[in-house]
Amino acid sequence: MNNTTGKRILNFIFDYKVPILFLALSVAGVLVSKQSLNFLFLELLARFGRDTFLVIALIIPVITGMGLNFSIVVGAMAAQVAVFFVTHWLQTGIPTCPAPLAFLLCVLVCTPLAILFGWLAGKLFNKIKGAEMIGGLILGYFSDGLYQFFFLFVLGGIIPIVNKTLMLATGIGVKNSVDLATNKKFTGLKYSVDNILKLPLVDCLKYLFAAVVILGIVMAILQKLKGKKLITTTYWFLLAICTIFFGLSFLPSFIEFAKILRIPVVTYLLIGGLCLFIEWLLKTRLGQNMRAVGQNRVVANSAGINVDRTRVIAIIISTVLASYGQLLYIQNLGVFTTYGAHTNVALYSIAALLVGGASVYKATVKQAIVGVLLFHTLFIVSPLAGQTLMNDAMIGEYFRVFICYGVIAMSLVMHAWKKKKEKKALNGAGDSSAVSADLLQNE
Amino acid sequence: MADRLKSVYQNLGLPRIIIILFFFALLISAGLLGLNVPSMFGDVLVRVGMNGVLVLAMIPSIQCGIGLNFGLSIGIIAGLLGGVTSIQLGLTGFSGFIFAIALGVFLSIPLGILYGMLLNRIKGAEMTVSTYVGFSVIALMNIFWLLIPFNSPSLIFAIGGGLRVTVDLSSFYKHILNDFLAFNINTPSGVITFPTGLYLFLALCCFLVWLFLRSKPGIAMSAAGINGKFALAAGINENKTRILGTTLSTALSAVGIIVYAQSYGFYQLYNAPLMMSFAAAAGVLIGGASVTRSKIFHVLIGTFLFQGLLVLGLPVANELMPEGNLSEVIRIIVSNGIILYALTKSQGGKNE
Repeated sequence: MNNTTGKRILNFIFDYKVPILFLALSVAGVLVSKQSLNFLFLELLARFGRDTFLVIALIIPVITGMGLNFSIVVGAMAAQVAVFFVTHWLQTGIPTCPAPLAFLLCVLVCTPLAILFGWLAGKLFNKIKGAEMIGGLILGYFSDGLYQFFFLFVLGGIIPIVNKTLMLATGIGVKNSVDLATNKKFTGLKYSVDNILKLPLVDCLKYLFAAVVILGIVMAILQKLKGKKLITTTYWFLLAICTIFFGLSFLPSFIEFAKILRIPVVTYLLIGGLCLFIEWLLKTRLGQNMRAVGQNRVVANSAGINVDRTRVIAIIISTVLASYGQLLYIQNLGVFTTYGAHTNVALYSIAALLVGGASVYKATVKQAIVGVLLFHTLFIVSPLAGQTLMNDAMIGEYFRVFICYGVIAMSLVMHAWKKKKEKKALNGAGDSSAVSADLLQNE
Repeated sequence: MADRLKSVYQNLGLPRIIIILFFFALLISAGLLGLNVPSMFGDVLVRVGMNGVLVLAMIPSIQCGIGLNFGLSIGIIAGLLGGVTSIQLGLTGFSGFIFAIALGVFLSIPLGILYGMLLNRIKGAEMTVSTYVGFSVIALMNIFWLLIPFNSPSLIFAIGGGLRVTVDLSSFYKHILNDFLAFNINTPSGVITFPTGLYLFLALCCFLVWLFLRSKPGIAMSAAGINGKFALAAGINENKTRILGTTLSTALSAVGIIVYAQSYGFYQLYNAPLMMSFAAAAGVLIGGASVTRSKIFHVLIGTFLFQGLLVLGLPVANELMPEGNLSEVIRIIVSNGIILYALTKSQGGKNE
């Protein structure tokens, strides 16, 4: 008994080695940097709301076997085109439009664009099966060129833009950064979702507890009616955590500590909704097809699944979600850096997902959330940690960039290594399986 | 005739035809706009020479079967280390240049071997992995440049805090190759200086690679690069030839960055080498190489076309669109477009 428990703990540590390593790094970083926890949580809550959507957008292609979707950049670009035009309209035609409606307008504009971009990317990936990741990376750079061409020369050069405040002095090309804050003359997109409803953290914890309890009651009733077991260990686990936080929210010292922490409720609800959507999608027929394609394209094909179509749909979904994620990101930042806002989207999102313990062939919503928390904790504390340890904040900056690249490189190496071993095992198992391995390879 | 045209089209591929047509369009419009075409041609000459060795570094990697070496930055780092060490030691002129190359190559060999061993373990995903390994190495070196205990005033910031972002070579070996035996060509609209030394050096490198590819290990490497299993039947160890090719590519890129720097006049540290491997890959691909086959001819013609586009593109674009950096945008689109094209041509579900 004791032995198996020990084994289970060891297995647990082995399964979660990456998150555990980063947890240790983050804790060390927090301790070394002597950053106040207040500030850390403030930053973390903001960054969580800003980045999680983008990270979750990566999950579907991983499950479909297309690896880490480096081409979410094109989704971000779709969002930025929408942000530009909506800001332009807000400043010229519809200055009094309420901010949430303006955001919805962004969604309306960017959805068809993102679908188009995702479809094109999916078509390309079907031509380079097995090299989707490097293809996606290069596609990101390539479309960055097209994006710059559009924003620097087409806007104002070919498409006339009347509103000169958004343009460079010559009238051709868009300014480097556009302020999205609302002012006296017109509404801006800044905080258009975040500001719909902002509640103190303490209140949110109470509501969360109430919601979880109500969910439990509903599930218990359904359980009685349908006779199916609905309340799982996961639920009890969730309830336990919520209860602890509920209890915490009455502690005077915690209330004092959490005074400045306010939650943008709608943003968080959107993230929660997205998590449920992904979970639901994976249970549908389409989701099952995606899993099948991800596991083995040949088998999926012979089972009657249209492999190419499924892959294109996966990329379209990912691109559209990424474009929404980028909209949330930009409205939270409040400043739209025309030529820089999208450049690191793929890098940071992918690194965050991997830090959460995901890999090239497996990713879950849970990993995405854990990843965002750990990755951004490290991101917040590393410059200060570098400052205190080495007397140079730049070291911390470079260190976090190294972490981004390094964790991706490691994950890619592990993936390729494992794949090669599997192939070897197949090849070694005799002639017939060697042939099938070759078939797999050539497909 | 139609058949011949079609075969030319198929051999070149649409993107290359577009690039060639674009090049000529730029050339003609530069003439029509009354720009100084001969002086631009001089610029192209210099830039072909200074980028040539870096692009040449793609040849061994493509031939040995690892594809485009997006981890060129590993060799570049070795070259930069050699370079900054030569400056720290205060070596100037040819002795500094040769020391930089020698140390760069010396450092790049173990790095190349390690890198080759890594790539042998991840066959089929070389390009993806090497890109991120290259990026990681650059990021790691960023920390190293901050901490390296060098103290030459030409190297470090006056206020402290690591090496400079750009290290000026004008008092060391700037243009040492460019000016070697350089001669002027008089043209109606100005004087072009031909950088003889640069081209002699490039020719030497090309000749050595050419010689190597015709030697026994070179032929074995190319054979293993085409098909590892057949090579195995012929008694060639594919893994060894891949390491050989990778190491050679890494060493060439170490030399390449020093040649580049002496012509440019600066060593660029920190994030400057991040995207250099993409430019080199684009160079060889524009010349007609594929992800699996390449020749020295591809390097020369590709570098000429690519650099020609950049040099001609800048003034022409400025003339047409004074605002904004159109030529930079063209560079991004062309270089990444050609890499994407090459991937679609060669990958086709091959690497599972």
